[in-house]
Amino acid sequence: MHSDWPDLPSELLADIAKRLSSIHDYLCFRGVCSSWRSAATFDNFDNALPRVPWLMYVTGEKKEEEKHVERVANFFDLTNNKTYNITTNFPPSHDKKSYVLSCGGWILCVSEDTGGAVNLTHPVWRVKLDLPCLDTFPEYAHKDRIRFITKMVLSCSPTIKGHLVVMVIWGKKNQLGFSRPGDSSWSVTDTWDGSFSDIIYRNGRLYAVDFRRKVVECDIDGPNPSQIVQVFSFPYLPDLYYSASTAFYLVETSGGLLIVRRGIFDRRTI
Amino acid sequence: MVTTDEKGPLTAKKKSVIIRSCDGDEFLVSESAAVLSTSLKKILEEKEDRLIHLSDIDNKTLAMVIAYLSTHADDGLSDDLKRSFDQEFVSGKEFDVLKYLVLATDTLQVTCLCYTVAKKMADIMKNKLVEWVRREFDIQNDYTPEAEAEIRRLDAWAWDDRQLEDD
Repeated sequence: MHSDWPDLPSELLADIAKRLSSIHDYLCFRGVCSSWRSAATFDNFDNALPRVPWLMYVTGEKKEEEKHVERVANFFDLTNNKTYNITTNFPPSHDKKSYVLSCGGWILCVSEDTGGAVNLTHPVWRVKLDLPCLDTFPEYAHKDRIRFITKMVLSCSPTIKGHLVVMVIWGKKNQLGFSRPGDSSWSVTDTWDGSFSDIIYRNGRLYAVDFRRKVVECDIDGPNPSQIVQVFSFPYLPDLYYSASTAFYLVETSGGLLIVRRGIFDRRTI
Repeated sequence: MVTTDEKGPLTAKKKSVIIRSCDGDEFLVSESAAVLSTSLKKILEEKEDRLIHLSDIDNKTLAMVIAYLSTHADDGLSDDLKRSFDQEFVSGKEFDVLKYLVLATDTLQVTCLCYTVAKKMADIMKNKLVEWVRREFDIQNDYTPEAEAEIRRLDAWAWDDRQLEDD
């Protein structure tokens, strides 16, 4: 029986492509022929499928003909112990005074230079979205620029147009802020008298835990996105050792949220 | 030829329909199984006729789809049993068979089965070279050498890596 695969309708090819959990397989699928490529679009890649994350590390590469050292982003795939060197149009900035945070394969690159340019890139899809600069945060001063943003989560894949909200923990007081691509400035939530340790986006809401083990909620897409509402306070347990070097994390598992405590110096995790 | 589905001969209580494949074979199917296909359900709602002719599904593919529908319409089977049936159903099938199945389930709008088959196809392609997929799925590479070179250049990491380990 002669097989005429490319004649499968584009929607069905897309249905198959959407079930490829590895981005590597997805790129190979796109390479097969032109109709497979047009079905397996950037938008059709299902970011929600569970995946083992890659680890990114940057190395310097000095080219003979150039004086400066070129920074190269390397990605280590834990599933096969391989390192991929993705140089095309990446890293997002050759600026040495910049650092990165990541969420779901997307990389937030924050420059510590004047102005503090911020952008969101995807190394495989070679997409770059500009976000408002750091100097649009209230009371931003150049001296605060070092590690100004400490955490970042995305509300959805940036491929879903018009819905993306980038949420961050920012500034010396570790407050909450958010922006959407195209915004002229970062928005901030009402001031909270605690300092936030971690954030997570779940069921359309932003949850944050502070260093006093209080969990708050923000309805980012609602009419009053800057309002912070406390939803949970973890009781003080005297047998746990608390110190300034304790961090708290929010972890989603089996439909629930867990608070994970990490003692940074005593290396005990409870 | 009239073939009864897995539930045996028609009883007076249970309504049935006859579905005819493009090559003329007829299958007797309980209505409760047929309506799991959104397309068949619509046809049955619109006309009294108990004979449905499917002009683009062959007998082998139709027999498979009907076996699936009958199993899923059986209230006596637990969800776990149905799930393991689904896994068995797609395992070991040739690419051609899967292709006609995915087309048939799309036409008949049997969403769950369509997803199961699509997932199976995706699993087959896991860790495979582009050349392997083209060969096994019998696909004509319609890229010009220049276009393919450009695609390879852009995602060199993904292509080069697999060139070394396979073929």
